Amino acid sequence: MLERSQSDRPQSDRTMIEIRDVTRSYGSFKALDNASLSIREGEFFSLLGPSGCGKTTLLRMIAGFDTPTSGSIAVDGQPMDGIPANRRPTNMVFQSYAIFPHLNVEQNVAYGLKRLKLAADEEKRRVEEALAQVSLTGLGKRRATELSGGQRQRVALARALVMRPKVLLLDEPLSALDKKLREQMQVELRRLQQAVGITFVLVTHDQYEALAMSDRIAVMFGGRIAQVASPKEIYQRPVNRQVADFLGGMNFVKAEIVEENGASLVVDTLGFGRVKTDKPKAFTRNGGAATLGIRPERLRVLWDNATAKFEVAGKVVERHYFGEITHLIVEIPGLERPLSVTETNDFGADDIPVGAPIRLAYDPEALVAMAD
Amino acid sequence: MTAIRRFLPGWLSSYAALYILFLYLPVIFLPIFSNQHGGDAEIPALRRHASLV
Amino acid sequence: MTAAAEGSPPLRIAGARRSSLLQSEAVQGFALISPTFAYALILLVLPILVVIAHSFWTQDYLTIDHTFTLENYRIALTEPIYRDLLWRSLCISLSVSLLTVLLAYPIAYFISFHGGRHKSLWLFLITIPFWTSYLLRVMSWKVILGYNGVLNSGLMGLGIIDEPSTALLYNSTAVIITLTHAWATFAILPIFVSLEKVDRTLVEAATDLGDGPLRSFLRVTLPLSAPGVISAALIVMIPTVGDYVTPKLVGGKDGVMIANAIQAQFGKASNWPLGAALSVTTMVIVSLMAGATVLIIRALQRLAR
Repeated sequence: MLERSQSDRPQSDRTMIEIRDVTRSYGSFKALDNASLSIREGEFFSLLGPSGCGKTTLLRMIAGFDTPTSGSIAVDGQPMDGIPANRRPTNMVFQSYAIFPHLNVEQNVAYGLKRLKLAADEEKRRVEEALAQVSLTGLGKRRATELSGGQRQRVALARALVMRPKVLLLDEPLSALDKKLREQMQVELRRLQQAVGITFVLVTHDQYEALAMSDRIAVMFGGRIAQVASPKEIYQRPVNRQVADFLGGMNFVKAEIVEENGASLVVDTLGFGRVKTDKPKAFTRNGGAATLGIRPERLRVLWDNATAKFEVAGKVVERHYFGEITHLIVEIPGLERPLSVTETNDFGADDIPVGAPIRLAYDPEALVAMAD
Repeated sequence: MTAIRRFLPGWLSSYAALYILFLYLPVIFLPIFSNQHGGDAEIPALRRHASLV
Repeated sequence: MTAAAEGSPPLRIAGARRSSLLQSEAVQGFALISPTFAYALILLVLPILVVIAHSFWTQDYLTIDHTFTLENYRIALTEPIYRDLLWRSLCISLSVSLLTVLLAYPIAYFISFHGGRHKSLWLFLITIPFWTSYLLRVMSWKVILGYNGVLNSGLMGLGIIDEPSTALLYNSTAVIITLTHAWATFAILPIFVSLEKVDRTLVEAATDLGDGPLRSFLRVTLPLSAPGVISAALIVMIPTVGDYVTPKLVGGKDGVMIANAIQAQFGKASNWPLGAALSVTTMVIVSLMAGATVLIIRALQRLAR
């Protein structure tokens, strides 16, 4: 499936970060298990996964704060083995922001420049430029302790960007902000990345954050990289149940394999009948059984006498109201688990009585086979 | 720099050991005091000192 | 509140005022601190007032003349012996606090940054020597530095010197060594505490921005631990100026400090007013010196940027 990248700026195909067979073990525990990844120049790349999946470990190894037990990391073609964090072409935005409390905003931003021994006006110009990039113009003299959470976040960004790194690493930069500010910063961060064209590597456990900002996402579980793909593909075609589950709701349907060839699968299900679907890359056949998945919003309520080419009929057992959408739990005869359906409230989905019969339309394309 | 980083904790820990030895010096030699009358039974300095106070 | 009180008889107003006075935060606060406050007043302020009062009087044998005079201060500030003693005390206390802080910092740093799981064990190890009495520890330094002492015997045994050195004991160096040892823990602990408070990600951030270990230490760790360094310096400096036991025991002729003179005035010389004037003078000068120390360290902290 060909994806249109979220960025409108043409991207190069040059590899910026090459991670090859990296393992990081603490005793018998493997925080990162044989991970390989290549991140392109100018890309907004996210490492997504639950806490303890090894995403932060990987980020810290790119920054140089941790060293791989085995394997290698290269940035811009240069192997990073033995190069300390202070000599790497990467800069980091820390989760806690790590703003120097004894310095004001300007001094914080200029911190890394001091070592470069620039001319005073050149240094000042770069600091001003960086502050403007994060919309903090005029706050240069403010003490770090007088800033709000959002402002501290911007200072941390400006302090890293002013160094003009090849790679900017962001360790859960938005997790400490409230929901509204977080959503605003997502847009700003994305816009900023587009403007400066630096490779961004973001670590997050928030799937919406990753989906909204990234060009590509690596989903990680238990120290392993489960899938690397564009947000759309990750969301629509998760390789396994774990990935599907982590990225929002997914209805799982048991299926029986009828036919298997190179690229596709034909399966029989009780609720959805016979379905032909793309075969996921990591698919390993386990007897004749398979699992299909369909996102709740890909099931649409059929009103009154409307019909669709593909539909299933059932009964509403639960209804949950979420403002702009309603969440329905629908029992389908033959399916061992009820389906969850997300419907917008434009047509009155919030008024469907519990217990009412209901018909749902679906697109067979939306049914995806996945590994368990 | 890496060399300094590796060297520093080593240097620091030997310093710490020396410092602790310094702190324990009086405690180590305290028992001698009870036998030796302060180690300066017949010192010229003591006489000088005594004549002054 | 005011509207309700307007129509009431004056008595009710007074009553309301009293209860509002009792409920006011300031009064409640005073009530809460009053035991401590009284304690401080009786044990700290009162004795100082007595000393200050005495410094303006004169004494003739056993009777105190209560007429106001500045004569004592004239003597305290102009007599060469007191000037010299005061100067020496300040020099010794400054060197002791400087030396103590310089020696204590690396070990506090070591425990805080490389102590790992054994931080409390290290701190425990450091406090153990201070469980023995101060007097015994000073005596023990006599054993080490004395004419037939450990150091002399050791050096002679090694063939470095032929006869015992008398330069070790009974001088200001001996006082400095002993005091540096005696106040070590009091310097290590505040520095350790302030180092513990330094957010480690700040050091990482400095490294990330290009600083090597030494630079990040000088630009982040050291300035952020300045409060600990200041309190360590003050904790050592202020009491050592007035130390009396150490110079008496290991100081000899060259190690006599102002406190010994003050003690002599209150004791053998029986001139309480002069002793009081010397005390007040010392107190004022030490306060000034402490203030100057704080300012200097703050200025150095600013310089580190």
